[in-house]
Amino acid sequence: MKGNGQHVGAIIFGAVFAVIGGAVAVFTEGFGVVFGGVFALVGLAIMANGIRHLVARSAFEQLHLAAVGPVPLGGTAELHLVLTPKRALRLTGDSKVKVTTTEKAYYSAGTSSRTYTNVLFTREQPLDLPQLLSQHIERRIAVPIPTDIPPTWSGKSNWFYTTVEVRVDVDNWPDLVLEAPVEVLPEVHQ
Amino acid sequence: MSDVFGVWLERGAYALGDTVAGKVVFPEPGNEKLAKVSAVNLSIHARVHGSGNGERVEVWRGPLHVGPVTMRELPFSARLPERGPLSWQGRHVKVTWEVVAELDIPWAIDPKRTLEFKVGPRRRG
Repeated sequence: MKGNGQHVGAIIFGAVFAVIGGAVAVFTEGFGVVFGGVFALVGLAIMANGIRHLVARSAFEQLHLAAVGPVPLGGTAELHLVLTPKRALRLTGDSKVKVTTTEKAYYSAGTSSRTYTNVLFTREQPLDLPQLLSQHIERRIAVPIPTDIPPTWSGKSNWFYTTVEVRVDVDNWPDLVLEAPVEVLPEVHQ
Repeated sequence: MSDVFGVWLERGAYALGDTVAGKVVFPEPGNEKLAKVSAVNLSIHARVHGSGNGERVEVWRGPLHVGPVTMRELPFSARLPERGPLSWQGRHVKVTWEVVAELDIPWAIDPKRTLEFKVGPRRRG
């Protein structure tokens, strides 16, 4: 599961991006102003997203999402979710679980490099949570895995991976987003 | 030169953990070209290619026979790993399982034969 460190990193990265972009926009002319401005906007967006995640997490004392174990193709992945709010939170009833399988490839030649990703499968299902989250809760979430996706595999420059994202929709508060990897085994149970 | 040898597999599709079995066949073992062969090399692997850097998952690689070819066929077999990539044709990642046989001929271009096969998931009862 992603921790606060990743979001702090995103804020710092976004801030650096924004400052560099802003400086280019201010100290150059013509195309540099446009380029710097776009750079700064992207940096601000990354920063804002990081802050949003940190604010969402700040309402919770304890957060945990992890797969209980590996799952075969066509099986059901089981995830363990733990939420302990610091204060009572009203939920909108629109909380969701999303499973996504992605193929990713990394290309590098000389000084240029590029990462390609392609979502192969995604499916959403509702997450049953109380309307008023006032105390520590634990849930076992069952997520069906299809048979026609590639199982988890990691090469040096190519990957297939499956993740589960839990989105808790809190009323008047940024949505809490937790993500955990699921290991899909290259086997089918008959 | 490639008409003097070929690669044959028992099946066209396997599951991870299965044994891939086949043979390199020489329809004319008395052919003078085969007398110049110093080795028959074989590789069974998954070739991962597409938009990213290519890579290989080797299952077996090495000389199947050393010296001139006088036989009609060279059998081979190798067990696929329990965990590995399955055959896949994605937008950015493609996984092609194949057997590649190559005749090593000194001072000549080494002829090569490639035969693709499918690899699917293991079936557990």
